[in-house]
Amino acid sequence: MALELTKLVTDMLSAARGVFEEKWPDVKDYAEAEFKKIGECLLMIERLKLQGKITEEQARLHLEIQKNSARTVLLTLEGLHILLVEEAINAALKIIRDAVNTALGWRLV
Amino acid sequence: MKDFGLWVPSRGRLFLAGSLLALAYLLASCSEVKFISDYDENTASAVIQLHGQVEQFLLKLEKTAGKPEGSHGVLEESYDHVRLALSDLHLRCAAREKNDLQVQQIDLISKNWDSLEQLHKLGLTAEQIPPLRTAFNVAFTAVLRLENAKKRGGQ
Repeated sequence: MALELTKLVTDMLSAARGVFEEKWPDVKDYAEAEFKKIGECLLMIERLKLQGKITEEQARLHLEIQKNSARTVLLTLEGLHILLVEEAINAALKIIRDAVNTALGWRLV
Repeated sequence: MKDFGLWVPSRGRLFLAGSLLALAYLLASCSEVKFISDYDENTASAVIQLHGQVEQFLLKLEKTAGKPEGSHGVLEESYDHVRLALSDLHLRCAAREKNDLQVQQIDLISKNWDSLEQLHKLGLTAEQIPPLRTAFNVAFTAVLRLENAKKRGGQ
């Protein structure tokens, strides 16, 4: 049976959603884009295989490249999330700084 | 020497003023948390330059795929040039504290570069290049996006 892009992407998204759980809304758009690329790569592999133009080793290398590319994107999302947490903590500390430092008499915060 | 009415600070006063400014800065910033390294303009430039290098190579590969001038043997040197640039970038990223994510990203791009060379050795056709180019574009964009996001405050 021939591969179908929409089904491939939908299946991947469905599986990933369960892993990401509450963080899913943050990564959904990126995941869709990356899974689409992986799906397109798999369709290309299928097409080339039917034409006898690709070996299993070549197919594995193509897929590995797409997976690594997707991992690079996810690492950026992780970094952006950490930066957001950092910003939130610093904003929280800043807002109480004067009151706490004055009350304690130390520049603690 | 004629006095023009300007107060010229002594070296001692300059040192004291500098120390006080440094101390004030430290006190003001000591309570700020930082989980990820600062923005580095040189890293951003290196990523853009490396992306251009890879893009240019892939365009050449696409045009010459299947021809003698596009063989791995002819283009082998380009792989080493990019590998060297990736190694420099890895060193720059690894030398900065709290920069593990970016180091991992450069490692992934390096692995992909090795895989591309392997594919080339096995025989690449022009129709296989577009998804490879997209993969490298996406990866470089991701690295640059993270670097730019590190700009904080007045950076």
